[in-house]
Order: sequence, then C-alpha cells, then structure tokens
Amino acid sequence: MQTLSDDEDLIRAAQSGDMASLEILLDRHHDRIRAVCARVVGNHADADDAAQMALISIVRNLERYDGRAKFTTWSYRIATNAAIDELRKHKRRPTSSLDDEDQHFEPVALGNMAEATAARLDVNDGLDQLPEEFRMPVILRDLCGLDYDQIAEVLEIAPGTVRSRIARGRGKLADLIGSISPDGNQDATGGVQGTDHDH
Amino acid sequence: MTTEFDDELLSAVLDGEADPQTVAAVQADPDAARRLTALEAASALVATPPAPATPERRAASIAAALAAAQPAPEVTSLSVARERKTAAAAPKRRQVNWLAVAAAFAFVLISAVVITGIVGGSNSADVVDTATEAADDAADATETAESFGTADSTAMAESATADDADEAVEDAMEEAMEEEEAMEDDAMEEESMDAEDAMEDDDSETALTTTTVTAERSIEPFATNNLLLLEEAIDLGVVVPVLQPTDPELLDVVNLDCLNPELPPDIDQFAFAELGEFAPPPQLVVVQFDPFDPSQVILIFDAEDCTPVG
Repeated sequence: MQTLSDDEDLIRAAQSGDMASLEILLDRHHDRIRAVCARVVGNHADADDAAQMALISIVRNLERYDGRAKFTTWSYRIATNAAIDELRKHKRRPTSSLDDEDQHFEPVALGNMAEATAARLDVNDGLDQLPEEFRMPVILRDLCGLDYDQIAEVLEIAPGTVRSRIARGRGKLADLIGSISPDGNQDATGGVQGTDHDH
Repeated sequence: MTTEFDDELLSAVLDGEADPQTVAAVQADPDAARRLTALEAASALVATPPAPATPERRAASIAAALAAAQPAPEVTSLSVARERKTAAAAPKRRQVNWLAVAAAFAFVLISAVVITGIVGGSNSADVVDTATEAADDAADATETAESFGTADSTAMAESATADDADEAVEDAMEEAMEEEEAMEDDAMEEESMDAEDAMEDDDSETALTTTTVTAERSIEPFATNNLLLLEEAIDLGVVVPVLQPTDPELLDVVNLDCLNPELPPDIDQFAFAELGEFAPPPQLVVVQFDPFDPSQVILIFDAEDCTPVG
C-alpha cells in the first residue's frame, strides 16, 4: 500500500540525489499521470509524449517541491499542463483520436438504457467535444477522484468555479450520450448542443 | 427536465456534496432522478481508465525523466559568451620569447666586441676579457628580462650595450614577435579548420538546418531530444536549450515583461539542431513560440538582460 509518507521519503531522497528513489517515485506515479494525459489528449501516442514531458518536468522541478501541496496534486498540475501543451501542439495535425483498444469501455454494472448508450460512446470523442475549461475539471474529478478543493488547486480556479464547470461538463456529456440512439448512431441533432442544462 | 434541480445541484448530489434533504428530494422527483442517472453515466464514462502505455514506452518515459536528472551540459548565456568572445578578440599583450632575445643580444654583443678588438688592434687578452664581461652583462640582462619584463630588461640592455646592440635586440624582438604571431596564426587556422570539420560532422549527424526557423524537416521543439540553437550560439559554443512551457520555471520566465511580440529582424539566423538525446535544463535563454504552432519561433531572448537575440 502506497502512503503519503512513502512518497515524502522518496521525494526527500530524490531531492538529495538518490536516483533509485527517484526512479521508484516516477514508476509509482507514471500510470496515474499518463492516464490524465491520455484523457486530455485523446490518443495514446500523444498521451505517452505528454506523460514523458510531465515526468521530465517533475524531475526538473522536484528540487523546488516543498511539500505544501500534496505530491499528487502538484504532479497533476504538471501533467495537465503537459497534456494541454501536447494538445495545442497537435491541434492542427489531423489525428485519429480513436485508439482501437480504447475506443469503447466495458460497461461496469450498467443496468439502464442511458448507461448502455454511454458504453457505445467513445470516451475520447465525448471529451473532445467538451471545451477545455470543462474537460479538465471533469477528468480530475471522475478519473482522478480529486475533490473540488484539490481540483481548484490544480487548475488554479475557485472551488465554486470547479463545481460549476464539472456540472456543465458532465451535463454536456450526458446530452451527448442522450443524443446517441441505442444502435450506436448519433442522431441528427449532432450531439452536444447548448441545452437548458447549460448555465 | 425539471427546473427545480439544475445540473450543478445534481452533480453535487452525484459527488456526495449535497445535503440529505436535497438528495431525498432529487430521488423523489422522476425527472431529476432521470437526469441524475444521465450525469452518472457521463461520470462513469470519464472514469473509465484508458489503456495503459506499453511496457516499452512506459520504461522509455521513465528513463527519459531519469536522464533529465543527470547533470546537464553547461549552459552559458549569450551575453556571457559575447563578453568572452570580445575579451578573446581584444589585442593581446604579446608574449616575447625573452630567452631568444637575450641570446641574440649576447651573440651580437660578443661579435661586436671581438670585431672591435680585431679592428682596433687590442691584445687578445683584453678582447677576451671584454667579451667575457659583455657576455656576463648579457646573461644578467637575460635573467632580468625573464624576471621583470620589457621595461626593466630594456634598461639593463641599455646599460650594457652599445647602439648597435640595441638595434640587434630590437631586430631579435621583432623576429621573436613575428615568430610567435605566426605560431598563433597557425594555431588559429588549425582551430578554425577543426571547428569547420566539427561543424561538418555535426551537419552529417544532426541534419543541422541553418536556413530557416520554420525548418523544412519535421521538428518538435518541445520534444525532449531536440535543442534549439541560434547560429550565434553555435558560433560562440553556447548551448541553448528548448524551453518547455510545461515547466513552471519556464512559464515564469516566459511571462517576463521583456517578451514583446516583435518579430526578429532576421529570422534566418536561427537554426535547429539535435544535439543530444535529452535537452539540458533550460536556463538562461528564453524562446517564445507561437502558442498555436509551436514549431514557429516568434522571438528568442537573452534571459539575462531581456534583449532579443539577433
């Protein structure tokens, strides 16, 4: 079981130049960081690049990490910045956001039509239709499990804004799911549109 | 859709941040409960873990980060490099081979004394004595020259020699200086040739592009294995790292007031090159990229004095 104190010990050792501790720290957090990057950029190649950039940035700035924020929060901030940079870098490059093995998630205990429809929606396509300001809080909340205060810290916005943006992001995704017919086709309304759920 | 419960309230219910009364009210309202389910589906969709990186790619990322922790090549600011270059280019106080000068001086002096003795008809013992004294004086002058430098040695020489000897000394000094100059020129030429060879090697190994900042080949200025070099920096031997905007320190630097969105006067002076597997930590040079097209460099600044480079 990984605990905060484990991370703190590793960080201290890494800050003192212990490469073995640094490697353990990076190994421990890679998957979490890479997952955020993957959801933000929407494809594996860019996710790998963004994750690598994030790890490098963590290494380069570890000396200045003072423990005031949790390491996970601090590293999420770096990861989201790296992912956003990667996203902007490739914005004009035509890419397929669909990775075959990641196209459709396996529904977990889904028992109703809405959730069954969600299973037919590509995660990355759905997130790609969200404005960045909504996408990031939703990912940090639903994928990373951060609370509103932590998300506010990562994104440097007010907790109230976090709450509002998560609601709007989820609302848009819910509308997108609702616009998909049970056979998996998106209806003529084009999915995400402004709705009365928007504020 | 009910108008009583908006998405923000329902989302708060979903996140367990609503009070029990609100939760109960939502559950009692069919429209609100339906919308809550839809939001829940959206949340579950996002919560789906993406497929992990391949083990190879994962290991490569970690290895790259570990490599970034290694001591980086020294990064010198352009301003410091310019100062060094200026100092190196300044006229150097010539180092004279004083041993050669003194030896020449002694030779001329002895020759003059011997010739004078022969011409003047002095006896051979006087000639030898005089020559010996002159040689001793010359040796003193040599020692003094080595110890005290030009002014003192010149004074000693003056006290020990005649006008002819002075001229001979000057000639010898000139010869020595010319010889040294020639040696310096040879060294510089050799150095220059070495540098050119090295540049050619670099060209072949890294496909150095010096013609345009947009670089015809595909470049990834933010990638970890690329370095951005200025032509001047190459000339000065300065390593200029690519700034990565994800680095908080860099963001601070990039946010400096000195970064006015002016275009450089001569964009052709920039060059891209891949110099190593991993970039050194960014330090003293600021590179401003077009945020919508990072392959485009807008301006490059010397971070020490915030002046655009070029």
